[in-house]
Amino acid sequence: MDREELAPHVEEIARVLGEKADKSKIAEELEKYVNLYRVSLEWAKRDILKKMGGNPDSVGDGSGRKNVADLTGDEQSVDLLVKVLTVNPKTIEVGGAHKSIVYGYVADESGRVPYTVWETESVQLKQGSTVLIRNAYTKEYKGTPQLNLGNRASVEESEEILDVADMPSGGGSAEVKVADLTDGMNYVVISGRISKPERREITASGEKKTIVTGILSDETGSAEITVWKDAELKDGDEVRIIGAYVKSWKGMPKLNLGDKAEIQVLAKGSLGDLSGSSPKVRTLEDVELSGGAMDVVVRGTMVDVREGSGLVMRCPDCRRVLQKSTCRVHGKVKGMDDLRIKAILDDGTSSMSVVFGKELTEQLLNISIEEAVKITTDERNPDAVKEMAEEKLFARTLEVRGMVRSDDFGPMLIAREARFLEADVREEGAKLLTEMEGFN
Amino acid sequence: MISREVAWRVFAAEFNSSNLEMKGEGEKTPSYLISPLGAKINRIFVVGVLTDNENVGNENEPVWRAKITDPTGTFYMTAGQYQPEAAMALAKLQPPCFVAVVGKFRTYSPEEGKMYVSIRPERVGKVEASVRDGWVLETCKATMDRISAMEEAMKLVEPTVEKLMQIGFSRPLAEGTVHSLQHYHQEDISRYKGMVSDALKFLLPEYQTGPEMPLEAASPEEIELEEEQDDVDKEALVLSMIESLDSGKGAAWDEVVQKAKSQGIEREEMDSIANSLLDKGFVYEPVLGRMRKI
Repeated sequence: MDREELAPHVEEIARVLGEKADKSKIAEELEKYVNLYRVSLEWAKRDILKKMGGNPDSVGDGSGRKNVADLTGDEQSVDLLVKVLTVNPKTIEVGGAHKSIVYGYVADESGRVPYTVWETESVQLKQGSTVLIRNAYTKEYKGTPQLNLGNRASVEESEEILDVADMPSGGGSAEVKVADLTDGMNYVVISGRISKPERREITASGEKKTIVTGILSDETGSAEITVWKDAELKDGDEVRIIGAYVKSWKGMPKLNLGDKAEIQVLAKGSLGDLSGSSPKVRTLEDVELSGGAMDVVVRGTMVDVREGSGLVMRCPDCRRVLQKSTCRVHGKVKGMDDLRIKAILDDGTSSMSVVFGKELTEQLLNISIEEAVKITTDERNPDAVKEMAEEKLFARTLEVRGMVRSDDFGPMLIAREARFLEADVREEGAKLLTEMEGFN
Repeated sequence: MISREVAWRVFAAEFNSSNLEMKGEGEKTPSYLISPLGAKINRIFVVGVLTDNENVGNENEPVWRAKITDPTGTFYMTAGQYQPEAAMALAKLQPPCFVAVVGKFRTYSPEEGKMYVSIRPERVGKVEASVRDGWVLETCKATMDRISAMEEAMKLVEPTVEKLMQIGFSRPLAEGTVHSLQHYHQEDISRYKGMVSDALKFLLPEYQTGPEMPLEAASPEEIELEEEQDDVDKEALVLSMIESLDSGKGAAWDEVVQKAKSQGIEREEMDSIANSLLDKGFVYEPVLGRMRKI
């Protein structure tokens, strides 16, 4: 390593030693250790400090100053220049004794990271201030780095201005869309519009607690949201949520806001017009990777119509489909007529089971349930409606909106809206041809 | 959870040029056919014109063999007792008509280094012309996606599945592309671009010149007669070739085509001659890719 490369490390040693530092002496020593004796940089720095009367623990492990986005989760000593976004005091119990800690988020231009201050006497953080944190360490929790300020850490206020106020991303968790949510995600930053907010009283480990549930929607879809504390949420509020985690139920990702999460209410209209619009069309592969979705629009070809489609009889008590006029639970009953189609939708990226209920079956086949019953009776063919569905739907392209759930059999789309799609082959073909010839 | 295999949109020319099979190990692992453009096909979705449909089995055990053409070539398919729904559907269809087929690939290797592919249909249905046009457009797009994956992969020093996925291609396509690169000659890519643009022109009326009309010199009857005579001569020639190239298991169709070419009969014409010979009952296909004189 040449002098130039060693210079920042010389500075670091000098900083620890304070006034007694002789930089040229340090540089000389360091060069000898590293270049002549081939001692690792980290050990060289420790040894020099020890020799010159400083605390060897106060130098970094070579990681030195880092950006938030570069944190790996196994730094033993790291320096960061960050803005303090949130400061939350908390009392925890350690070995029977109460201990005060402070937690929250800090951020720089590269990202955002959760932190914990374990020694609140020696380290004090002020919300909104910019600080140089020295000798913090990181740990990984569920795949995301966490910053810890222990007894070695020090904090200095800095004059530098960090542009993080409108930062769209968080450390290790860039701002995401509803369609990007997957089970197990942490520190999610997401914006959207709230609907159906509801305060609920629950009892958690013997204590009464108020929680708030609702739905968060953006242009890619909707997800259920649960705030595990009392919060002011109004129908139509546009919000940015910081630090939520995702848990899926039957494959559908749900947002949870724990203690560390934050809700910022944004100015009306700042997210654009979200009212009444249907979400963007997603590929089946994308939906499958999410595991599920509360509200999704997909386009695909009907490649199969499955058994159990057509006119079915349901139990009047439990709505189970009857087999030979017999319900699995309620025995022989007088069944109720119902229509449904179970099919496979395939868009070339993946395939998915899709179920259309009575209204959509009537609409797609253009018959009423009464007509369906009449055709089945007249033709004496219990599969008459299924065959009609095969004929009308096979190989046709449909746009379907609905909810996707997953179970052991894979994802299933429960349709709410559906329509036949016919591409304008001339227009699209001409466009594609122009594009192609542009490439050639 | 075993996920259902996606149905690939692939033109006949690309499908029929495929000769790399990846056999699944164990019972539950699927086999794949890797196409020259890196489609990793287990299931395929095809819409085209049913031009030929024949029961080569018998009344009790029907085996339906059918040909479906798209703007680039012909798909061959066979449905027997294990594809009852598809066989039943085929039995009801009268060519020519537009059909859609969802099925799995099958391969047949008469000898080392040769491979013929066909479709074992799961579901067959008659459709409207608009569905065929929609399929052609969709298949053009899908083919272009594969071409761009192939081109991106060739830019990489060492193309891997992970690198291609980072660029944004799906895992099956990334896998297929990497396999294809190791197996096929990549100079074919420009040929496939030409194929896609021809297929697009097929959809656009401004490119359709229509069949060239013969001059008014001879009456239509005369021309028809002349053409028929010409056809009969060529058919007889091909028939004799099939006979001479047959060493007991039928003549390999590729060899017949090659021999015919040396006599001035082009590949395109051979297809119609083969159809005619099959129709007239002069020959049959004991197995796919082979012809025998009856």
